[in-house]
Amino acid sequence: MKIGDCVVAWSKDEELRKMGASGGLVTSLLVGALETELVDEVIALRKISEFEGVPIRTSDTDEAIRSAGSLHAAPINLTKFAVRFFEEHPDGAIALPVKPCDCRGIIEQAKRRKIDMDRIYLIGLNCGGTMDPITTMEMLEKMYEMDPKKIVEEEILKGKLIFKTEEEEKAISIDEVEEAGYGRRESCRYCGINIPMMADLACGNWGAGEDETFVEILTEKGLRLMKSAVDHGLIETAPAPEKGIKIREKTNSVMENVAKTWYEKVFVPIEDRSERMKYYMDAMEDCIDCEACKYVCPVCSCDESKCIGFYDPMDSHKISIYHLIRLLHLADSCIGCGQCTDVCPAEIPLTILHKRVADRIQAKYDYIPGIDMKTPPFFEVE
Amino acid sequence: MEEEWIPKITLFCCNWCSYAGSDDAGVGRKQQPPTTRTIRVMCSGRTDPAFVLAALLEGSDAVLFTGCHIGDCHYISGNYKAKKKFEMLKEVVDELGLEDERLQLQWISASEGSEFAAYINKVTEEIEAIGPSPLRQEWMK
Amino acid sequence: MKKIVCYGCNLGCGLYFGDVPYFRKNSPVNSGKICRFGMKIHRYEKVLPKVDGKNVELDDAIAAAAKKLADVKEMAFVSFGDVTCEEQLAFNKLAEAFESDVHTCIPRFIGANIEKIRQSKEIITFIDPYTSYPLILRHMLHAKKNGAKITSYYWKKLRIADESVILNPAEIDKIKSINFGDSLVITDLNPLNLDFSNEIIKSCNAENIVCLKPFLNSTGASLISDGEKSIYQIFEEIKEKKIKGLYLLESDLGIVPDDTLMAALDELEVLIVQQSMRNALSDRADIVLCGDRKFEGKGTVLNFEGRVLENEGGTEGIKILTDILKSVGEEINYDKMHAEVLSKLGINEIDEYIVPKYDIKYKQREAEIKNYEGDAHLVYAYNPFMWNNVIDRDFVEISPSLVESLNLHKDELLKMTSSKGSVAVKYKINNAMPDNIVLSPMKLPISTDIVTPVNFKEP
Ligand SMILES: Cc1cc2nc3c(=O)[nH]c(=O)nc-3n(C[C@H](O)[C@H](O)[C@H](O)COP(=O)(O)OP(=O)(O)OC[C@H]3O[C@@H](n4cnc5c(N)ncnc54)[C@H](O)[C@@H]3O)c2cc1C
Ligand code: SF4
Ligand code: SF4
Ligand code: SF4
Ligand code: SF4
Ligand code: FES
Repeated sequence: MKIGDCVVAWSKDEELRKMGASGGLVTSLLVGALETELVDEVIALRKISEFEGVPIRTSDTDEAIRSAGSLHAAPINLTKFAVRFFEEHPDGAIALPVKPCDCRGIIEQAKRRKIDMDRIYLIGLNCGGTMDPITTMEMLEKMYEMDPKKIVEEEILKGKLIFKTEEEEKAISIDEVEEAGYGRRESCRYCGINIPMMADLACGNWGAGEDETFVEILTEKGLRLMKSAVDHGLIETAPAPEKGIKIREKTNSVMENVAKTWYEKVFVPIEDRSERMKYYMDAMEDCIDCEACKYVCPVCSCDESKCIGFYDPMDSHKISIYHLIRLLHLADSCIGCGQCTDVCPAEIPLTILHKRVADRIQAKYDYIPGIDMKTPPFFEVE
Repeated sequence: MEEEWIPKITLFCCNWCSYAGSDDAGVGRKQQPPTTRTIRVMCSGRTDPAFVLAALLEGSDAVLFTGCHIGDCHYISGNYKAKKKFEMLKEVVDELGLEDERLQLQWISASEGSEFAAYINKVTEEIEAIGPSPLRQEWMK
Repeated sequence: MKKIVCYGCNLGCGLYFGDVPYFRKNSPVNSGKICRFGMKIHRYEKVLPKVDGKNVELDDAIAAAAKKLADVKEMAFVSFGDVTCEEQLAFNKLAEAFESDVHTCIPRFIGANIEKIRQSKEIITFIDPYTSYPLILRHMLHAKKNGAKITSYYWKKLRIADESVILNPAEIDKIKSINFGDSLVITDLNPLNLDFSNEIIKSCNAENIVCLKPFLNSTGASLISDGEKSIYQIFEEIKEKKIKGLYLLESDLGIVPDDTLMAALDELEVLIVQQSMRNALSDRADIVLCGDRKFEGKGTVLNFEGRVLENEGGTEGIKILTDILKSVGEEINYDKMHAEVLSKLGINEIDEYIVPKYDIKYKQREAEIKNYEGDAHLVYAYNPFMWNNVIDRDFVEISPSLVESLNLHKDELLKMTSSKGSVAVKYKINNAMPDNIVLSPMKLPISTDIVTPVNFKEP
């Protein structure tokens, strides 16, 4: 094994291999990292139900094992949990599974010195998208005519969204459910990064066989994780078959195109200036200033935030300074993860608003946040 | 109310150049319209974008970023930072639909009194031509 | 992280709590979203046990409470419902042991549910969803997006409403002539507005009313406790010396206008409060018993729809009640209370994704809705912060023309005078306000009621 290799791998523990989303590899790596003391703690999602996962930070390997499996209806970003780890343990080390948006958040935080990249092991997960749990349960009742409580597994395969109970299995095409307003969160539909090439490893089921995880080894840290798990007798690996590599590439490019189409559909430019102003002011006006969007944003890194500091609830502005400052501050770093829209009690499509502003600036400075350690344009002074 | 409107322009001046430049315009009795409200900062680099946004929300019809010419900043690189802040702000403000004239950057040295006055005259005319800012509320005086 | 229910109001927003709140995205009412209150749920100062103003051990405070309860016969027991059903039930047992009832000061009512809001085509609202029950807003927005027409009757224009009728305190009884038709009506029931909501509830079909309530478990508490007195009735009886002592369980009377409140409290022989938050009432009480923080009580909670929710936490509150009950020889514990709650609710297990059916008759009030004298009025509008004594906004809202006519400048104070004196307060200009109303997010010292006639002349 060396950096750049693609392998398939799986847990040697048969039970874990079955529990895992594909081969239980990611969980084995977390366990291995704890057992070999590469890290002090790991972060994972504790499964409460098929529709609920709670982020946990733990040093207990059993706890890590119980978190195996993918939760597609747990749209959570883990960045801030990693930030809190480093706040508490500046010299500690941690490992966690990361979807591309988790990984991008972490990298942006690292640029702002909230995370130490040398001490964080990023086990990347390919990602085709997450779903909002409540709307998904509604979809199950209305479109699938299935009882959400009975769901034991869900899966995305060949453009179809599949749900299984102990008795039956039903599949409907993603296009159809998304047309009906269900399916993946809006931000995931146009999210263009499916394989986290900026992580230490990129793991997924694309291109892997039954009960195997496809892994691309991307960095020294990634190699270390894999090697120590092999040496520790936790996982087994085999070179990835040519066919698997092709399938993975092909599926990825199909997904990228779907994302592009969605992007164009959602981000129709508003040419007229006064229309634009009306659009932003109208959208923001329902805000009840809970500050949740700031709290949850994976790339916001200030402790004493200017957006909150400058805002006074006594102001009677047409659009609040809180939002104007945030639109500006996130202009170079918004990764379009959708967390802000998800938590907004006033249902403001914040991600779209932020991305509309950010995309202009990111294009102008040729900067894509969260994919490498390039200095953000705001900090780049001639 | 419409008839009474005269542009309200918030002017951020750095202590060492543009403020001295505006002073020079005054001492030299250069004719200028009463449209500006000057806020003196030590260096243009101190002009926090949040100040600019606050000025726009509080009813300014335009905001001017000014400072020493590039190379002349008394703190060496302050105006480079100001330039970056301005560029970022400019994109945001433009995306939000504010006209180009409402946010401007101008380097002015301590001795450029007449240039300063001419600039304020020019901006005032531009703002008069496009009218009050859409961010201004009717009741803002 | 514990799975909890926000205590800011009776919407039943679910969230997680570790040392700070975290979003619980599959919570049925709120999809994990929470309002400004929910975000700051943990920020309050905990009270310490006290007897006669002196800090004591909790056990000593409990012993003192047991003794007082034995001595003072005419006790009234009040719990608005800021506790779980289990704790409310334990409180019932305590009241029963002293031959009394627990009053929630909010009548029993369960009407339409959230799904009905989302599906409705015509909505009439009497609440401001932006401030009062924020997480209801998204369901109203959903209906609006699907074409619902929204009409509001409120103290100011509401952005969400297609038509805003501004309530005039001098003619509040005009609401009697509203034609509700088949519209879905959103209103609230709280200890201060019983006559107003009574008027609305009796004019419409109960199935068409979404009736919000202000405390964590207002609905559950009202199902469990039988006391029917309103807060004003209790004050009246204190004045008449029919009630000589008050035992308040997590119920802040601080929402009542100062003079009414003080006049009553001064008459009391004993005031026992069992609560977790330090406030003016705990500073004043003879005995303070402190339980878990409001969001940390283990047990069952019913939201305004009657949806049964579970709150993870401790049983400190029930333990205090258990210890007092021991002094009269009664044995209770959490498990017993829990079993009895489930059987009262007629369920075997908690499923937050369904809304059980209830057969509850709302008991109409005799009282008439009243108009207020005067040309200008100070109104204190309720919101989670006010109910819970966490003041986060110390300014009032007024219209631009009122500002203009009073010639107020930025950073000046608005001066107002009522029959109880004068105040000067900070103000915010709001285009949505009518010229004759000053809207305050909290009770002001000059308030004589929710609505107070005021003038702006120099005293
Ligand atoms: C939302 C989502 C979408 C995915 N989409 C694709 C895809 O389109 N194509 C593809 O090839 N692979 C996809 N994957 C990756 C794939 O499902 C497996 O996670 C991967 O193959 C690793 O399998 P494993 O058995 O080794 O992992 P496991 O051993 O099962 O470990 C999975 C780890 O992921 C964590 N986890 C679960 N849900 C989440 C979540 N929502 N966010 C963050 N961490 C989580 C778990 O806590 C656990 O630690 C997706 C994963 C997720 C979570
Ligand atoms: S934003 Fe992208 S990476 Fe994040 S969950 Fe959605 S699809 Fe996955
Ligand atoms: S602004 Fe919103 S979409 Fe952008 S990074 Fe922050 S939370 Fe994600
Ligand atoms: S989450 Fe929504 S309501 Fe809360 S501050 Fe952000 S935009 Fe406003
Ligand atoms: S105060 Fe009410 S609306 Fe706000 S989060 Fe709590 S329960 Fe929800
Ligand atoms: S001192 Fe004038 S720009 Fe820095």
